[in-house]
Amino acid sequence: MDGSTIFMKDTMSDSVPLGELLITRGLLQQKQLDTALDLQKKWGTRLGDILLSKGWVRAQDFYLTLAIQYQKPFVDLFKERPDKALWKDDELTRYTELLVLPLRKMDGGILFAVADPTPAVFEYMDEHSDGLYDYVITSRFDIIWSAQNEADQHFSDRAVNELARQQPVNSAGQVFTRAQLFWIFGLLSVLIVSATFWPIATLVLANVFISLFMLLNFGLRMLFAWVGSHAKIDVKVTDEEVRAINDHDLPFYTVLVPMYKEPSVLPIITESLRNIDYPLSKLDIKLILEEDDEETIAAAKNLDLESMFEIIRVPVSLPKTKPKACNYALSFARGELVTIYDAEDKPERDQLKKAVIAFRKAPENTAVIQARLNYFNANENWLTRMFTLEYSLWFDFYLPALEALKIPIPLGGTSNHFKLRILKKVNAWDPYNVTEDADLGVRLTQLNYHVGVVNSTTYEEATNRFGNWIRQRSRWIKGYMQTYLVHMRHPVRLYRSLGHVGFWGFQFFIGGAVLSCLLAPLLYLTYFGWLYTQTHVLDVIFPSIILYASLFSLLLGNGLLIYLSTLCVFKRHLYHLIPWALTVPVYWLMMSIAAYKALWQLIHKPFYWEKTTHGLTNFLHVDPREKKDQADV
Amino acid sequence: MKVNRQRADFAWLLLFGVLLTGFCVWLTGNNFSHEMALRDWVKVLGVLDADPFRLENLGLDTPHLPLYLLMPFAWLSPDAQGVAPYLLSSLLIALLLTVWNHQLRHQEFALWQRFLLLMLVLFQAPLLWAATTGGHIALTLLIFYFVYLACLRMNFQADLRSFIMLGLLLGLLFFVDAVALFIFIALFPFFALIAPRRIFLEAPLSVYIVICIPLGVAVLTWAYLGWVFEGGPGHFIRQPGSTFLGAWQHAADSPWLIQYGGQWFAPLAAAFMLLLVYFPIVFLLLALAAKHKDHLKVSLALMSVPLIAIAFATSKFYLERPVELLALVMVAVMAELSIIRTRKGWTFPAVVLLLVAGGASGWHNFLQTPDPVVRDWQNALFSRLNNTHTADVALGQFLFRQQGEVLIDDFTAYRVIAAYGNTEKMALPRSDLFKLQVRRQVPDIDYIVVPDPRVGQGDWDRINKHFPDLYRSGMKDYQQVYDYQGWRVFKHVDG
Repeated sequence: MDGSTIFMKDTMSDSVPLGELLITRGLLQQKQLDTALDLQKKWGTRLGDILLSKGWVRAQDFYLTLAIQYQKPFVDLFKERPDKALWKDDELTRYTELLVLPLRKMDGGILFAVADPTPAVFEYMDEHSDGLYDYVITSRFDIIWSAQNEADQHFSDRAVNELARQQPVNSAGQVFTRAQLFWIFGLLSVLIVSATFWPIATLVLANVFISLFMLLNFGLRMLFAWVGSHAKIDVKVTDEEVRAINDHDLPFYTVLVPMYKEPSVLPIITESLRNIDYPLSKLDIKLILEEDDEETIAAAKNLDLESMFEIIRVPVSLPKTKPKACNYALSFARGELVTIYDAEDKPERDQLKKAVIAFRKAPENTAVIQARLNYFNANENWLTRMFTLEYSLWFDFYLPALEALKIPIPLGGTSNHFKLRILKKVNAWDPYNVTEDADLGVRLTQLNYHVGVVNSTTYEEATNRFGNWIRQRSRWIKGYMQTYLVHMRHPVRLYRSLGHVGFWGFQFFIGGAVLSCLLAPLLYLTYFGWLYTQTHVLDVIFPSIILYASLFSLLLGNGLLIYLSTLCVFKRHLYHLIPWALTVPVYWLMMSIAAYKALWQLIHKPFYWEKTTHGLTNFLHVDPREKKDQADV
Repeated sequence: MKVNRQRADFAWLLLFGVLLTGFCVWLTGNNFSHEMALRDWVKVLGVLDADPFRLENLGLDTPHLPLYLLMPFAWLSPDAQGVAPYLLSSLLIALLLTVWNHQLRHQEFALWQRFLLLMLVLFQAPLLWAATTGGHIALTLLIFYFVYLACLRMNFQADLRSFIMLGLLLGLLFFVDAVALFIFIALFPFFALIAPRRIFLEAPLSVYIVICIPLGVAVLTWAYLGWVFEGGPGHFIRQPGSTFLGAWQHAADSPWLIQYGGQWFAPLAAAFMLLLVYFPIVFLLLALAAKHKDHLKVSLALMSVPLIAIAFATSKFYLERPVELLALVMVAVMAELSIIRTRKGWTFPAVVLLLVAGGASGWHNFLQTPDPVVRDWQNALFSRLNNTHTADVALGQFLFRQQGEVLIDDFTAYRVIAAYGNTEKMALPRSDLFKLQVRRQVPDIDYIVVPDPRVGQGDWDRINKHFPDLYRSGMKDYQQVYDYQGWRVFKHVDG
């Protein structure tokens, strides 16, 4: 390599086209090239991206050929390590975005390692070297690996601490603030004193509060179900709109897939993503694996995945949570939009396109679009049926109603589609919150961003074992508790940012969900205790109005909430689940068990991420729409 | 524009309200009274005057929602309070007509056409009866209007909201009128026709479950409350005098039940004949609905519901007079007119003609009915009725002049209490004072009122049940101070 020669312009103008070069070198067939050129016209991306995404050329061979085309040396960054002293911390994200790294100094200038020599990259190199630079070609994998290797502390620190640094008030790193502890202990003290000196009045007052809460909770859920049942609320993006969209106009999409100790489901998710209806060359898929998860890393390497898949190794650090891992991976995201899928997820094939269209139709300040979640193994056992009913009610009724009523939407764990620049601007997910998605939804709303929903479904595996379910549910409820505590640190500020409807919606939908799970066993205990003993001791704490409210909640409230569970299957035509909905009170009891476990963990292990085991089902997923198409045929 | 429409709707409501209220005032001014209306009003007085306030004192032998709606009327002047149930029923029918008028706008009728239709419907005998007799049927008609539309919508649009509406309305109806169960039973077999075919074929059981759950919850709730407050879940269908039993206990007073009680096909046929007489327009509407196969199918099913309900209720000795359930057909006609285009061509004159014809023949039939209550109503249209309950009124006035608390059963003495005007000094059966007194061998209260146990419902009187010899032989420490036409009052004397 001639270190004295500095090139400042594109040197490939006289070179052989890349495709021809690959054919000449025996790395590509003519037929493949013809197909790739057709796709290039359709997708509007570069030939190289298409070839790599299709896996028709190995990455190493491709970049070597690229180096030949650009008449530049090819460098293996495993062997020739970059000079880290040239790196700037605040430029690290740009390096991974543009796939460029300062390699070393030379002849008064800087030699860069480049994987993607675009005009933007040349401009960057020019800007960051005072005009004196040269470059060598390397592979994308080398850039990503080097960046992680040399700067993992920086990326880790950002992933863990950036939100706490920029918005300490919104970090769940501190479970209870001093003010909250003061209020909690103060309230408890007042209650104890009151109960000592005025026991009956205190109990009556507590009963009044509980009765009122239950009535409002019930009323709100009926309202959400009514609003969510409106036919117009359903379809945001039609199939015709999806068919009409031009692949050329689609943006680059980053797909984050965090996993931990799930080597068996890896082939399934990668296959799902390959089959997604989106230009493969516009996909930037990150398989986010913990550094100590050697099993899954090895499985990923063995799959010999196409270049659109990248393995992001997250260094071991605390807290060891999914949001932390996603924050880490976000530093390497290159798409305009970004979404998350769990390892067992099976999104509908056109979900990404629907999300793109939904964003285009949504207000400009829309930060995220939430797709619907449901389960493909609904019929496996009683638990999966209940889970399906619950999710159907939540995603098909409540979330669209929340959007229509302008109440903060607690995002679901996956299939949230973000605008990357906004996500980075709000410092992404809280690594300390075990329901980081719910928290982010509220935070975005507070910052005047809009959260929308789209009529596309991702099918997941419903956990089919009680123990697994309790672990998962207790984590979710703990996360809701965290979310509530974080956003109620400054209730007046929250009220001002969310408005009246949003504020009270938040109280009942987040706080109320937790409170009702905690209260339910106490109320049932009281009721069944009375039923068994027929005691009159409790009469004094149930004055007439409270008695009527309690009877209403017990009888009509519970009855109609069971009724809601029967209705929620309509949108998905899962009518066979309706008789099972009559057993939903048992499911509610399980939620209460999980809630108490969550409360215990909130105090003792607030950041502990209780991993849900997946891959336990024997059910296979078939996209219901494909099933319908086959049936129609 | 929305505000203007709301103002117009309010104006119509006012118009109908004034018309029907005027009618009610005229009837009650001529001494017409309906037993159910009086009973309801006395129950409401009993709860409002009691201390502490307890809703359960309304009893569970009658649906509560109309009673709750009566409570605000307690703020009327004492003289006007007696008309409260009639005012309520007239307001509810006024509301029904206003809602219908609002929906007729979509048919783009001219104002004069709408006015004509409204007046023709208003002056149909069954609707006027429902509006002016203070019973629960007025609210039932209002709810059935929405039930009808929900059924049509469910079939035409397979809309989830229509399932929700239908289920909730049927559940709500149970808290309005005991006849809800008969309407539901009549409607039940037709769910297979009304539900969207695709959904029904896919999951028939699920369709039934979704529609029936709210009513099931309502019935279970009532049974549970009966167990809590009255000692047994079946109380509401076993308690003598319960409205859930209908006319069962005084079937002998009902000419309809004398003729058809306990039968099924005969009252069904009779109901069909009544349909021909009162509502010949039904056949025109069905013919117009026949343009769409599904519409005809659903409308035919729904129009049959009142007839089947009449037949079933008669077979169980529940229904005293068929005209009350026949009014459901009027509501069905109103619902159909709000969706079938009849504005243009020959259809509008045909509609008017058939409404006029049905109105005339309906009135003719109505005026011929041997039902004594209906006859009273008719006579009160033209002249003042003689007060046939002078004994009750006299007792009420007597008690009004006394000082002290009175042990009295509102089930038998409701007219007495109505004449008295309030229940402030009265120990009624659900009060703690009443329960305490009847447990004693000799009560300790100022006055005890008992009817003759040998006459009418006197043997159902709860005081007579606890003290069976009181009317005939008196009681220690008590002196008889009043005896008139089957009523005796005993006053507590010291020593």
